[in-house]
Amino acid sequence: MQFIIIVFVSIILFSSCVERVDIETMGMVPVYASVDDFSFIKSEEPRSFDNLGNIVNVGDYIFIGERNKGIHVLDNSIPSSPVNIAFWSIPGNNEFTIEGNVLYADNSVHLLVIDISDFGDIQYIKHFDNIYNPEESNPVRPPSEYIGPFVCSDSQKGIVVDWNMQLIINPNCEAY
Amino acid sequence: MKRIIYFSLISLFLWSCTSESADSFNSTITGSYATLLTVGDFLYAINDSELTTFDISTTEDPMKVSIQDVGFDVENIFHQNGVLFIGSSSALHIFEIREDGIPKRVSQTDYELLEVWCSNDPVIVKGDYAYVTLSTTRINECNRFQNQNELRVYDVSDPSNPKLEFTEFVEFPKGLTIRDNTLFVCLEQSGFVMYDISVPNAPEFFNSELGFPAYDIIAKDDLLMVVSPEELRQYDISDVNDIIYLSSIDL
Repeated sequence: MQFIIIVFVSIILFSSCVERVDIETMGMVPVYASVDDFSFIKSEEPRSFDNLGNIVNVGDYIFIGERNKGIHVLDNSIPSSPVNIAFWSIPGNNEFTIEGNVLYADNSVHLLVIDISDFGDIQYIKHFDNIYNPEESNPVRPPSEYIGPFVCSDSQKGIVVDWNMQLIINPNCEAY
Repeated sequence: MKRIIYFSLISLFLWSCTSESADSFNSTITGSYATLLTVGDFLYAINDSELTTFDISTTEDPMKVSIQDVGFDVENIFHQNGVLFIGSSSALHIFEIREDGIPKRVSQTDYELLEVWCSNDPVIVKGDYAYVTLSTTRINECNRFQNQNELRVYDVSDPSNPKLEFTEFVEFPKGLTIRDNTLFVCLEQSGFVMYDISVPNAPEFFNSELGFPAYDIIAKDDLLMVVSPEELRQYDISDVNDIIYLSSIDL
C-alpha cells in the first residue's frame, strides 16, 4: 500500500515538472486603434482590391467596400474602362451608404457621418455610439495573399488598422 | 448684334444644362447586402437584430429617432414605396414607414429552413413580388455542407401576409437584382444566371454568364455591375438576350 502511494505521489510530482513546449514562429499580429479614434478616416491613393463586400452606385461613381478597411472609389463615366480614383480609409468598415455629399459608414461599433464633397479629402463629422456589435461582424484577417500563422483579432482590443510581421508565441489562427 | 446672339445662345445652353433633371441618374443604388438605406429625410440602419431610424433632414447633423427590435441574424434591407423589406437568415420581415418616418412592423414570414445558421439571404422587391435567395456560406466559420440553396418568390401585395409562390434550387445563390423583366442572380462560385420574370411568380431561366465567382450584382439602366472578392465586372444589358461584356477591373 505504501508503495502505491509513493508511486502515485511521484507521478504527480514528476508530471508537474514536465514543461510544455511553446511554439515560437514569425507571423502576423494585428495593430489596434481605439474605435473612438477617427484620425484614421481619410482619403488615400487608389489601391488594389482585396476582400470586396458592399457595392453602391451614385451617378457615374461606383463605391465598393473592402471588408474592415474602407471604400474604393471608381470613376465609371466610361463603363468599358472604369478608373480607380481613390481609397477612403475607414478601419473597421463593412457597411455604408451615400446620400448626396454625406457618407454613412460603420467602423464595426459606431455609425460615422462623413462629408465626401471632396473625394480627395473626406472629413469625419460626427458619429452615433454603439450602433453595431463588433462581435457580430466577421473576424478580421491579414491581407488575403498572406499564408501562415497569425494572432486572431480580438474586437475587445479595438479596431485593426494594420498587421505587423513579428515573432509570435503559440499563434491561435492560421491563414491558408 | 452678334454678341447679343452669342450671349443668348450660351445662356440658353447653360440654362438648359442646369435645369436638366439628373435626379434619377444620381440617386443612390445599393447592393443586395445593404444594411444602410436612405429614404427621403430618413436613414435606416440595421445591425444583427435592430432597426435604427435617423432623421437626416438637416445635412451633416442627423439625429437618432428610434430603435426597434427586428429579429436575429438580420442581413439586408430593401425599400419600395414606403415599405421596408428586411432579410434575415430565418425570416422575411416587413415594415411600413409611418408618416413620422418611423417604421412599423407589418409581418414576419419564417422561411422554415432545416437549419438556420450561417446563411446570407438577401431580398429584393419589384411591384407585388419579393425575390429571396437563401444560401449557405462555405467559407469562414461554416464548414458543414448544408443542402438548402434556393430562389424563392413571395407575393407581397398584402405586406401583412406574404405568400410563398415559387421555390427552386440554385447553386449557392448570392446577391440579386432586377432590370425590367429580368432577374439576375449571383452564383457564389460560378457567375450569374438570368431569369425572365414577365410572369413575376414564375421565373424562367434563360441565360447565364459563368467562369468567375460572384458575390453581388446591381443593375442601373443598361449597365450591370458584378462584384467578386477581387474584381468588378460590367456588362451592357440593353438587350438581355445579347448582353455584352464591357470591362473587368481587379486593381
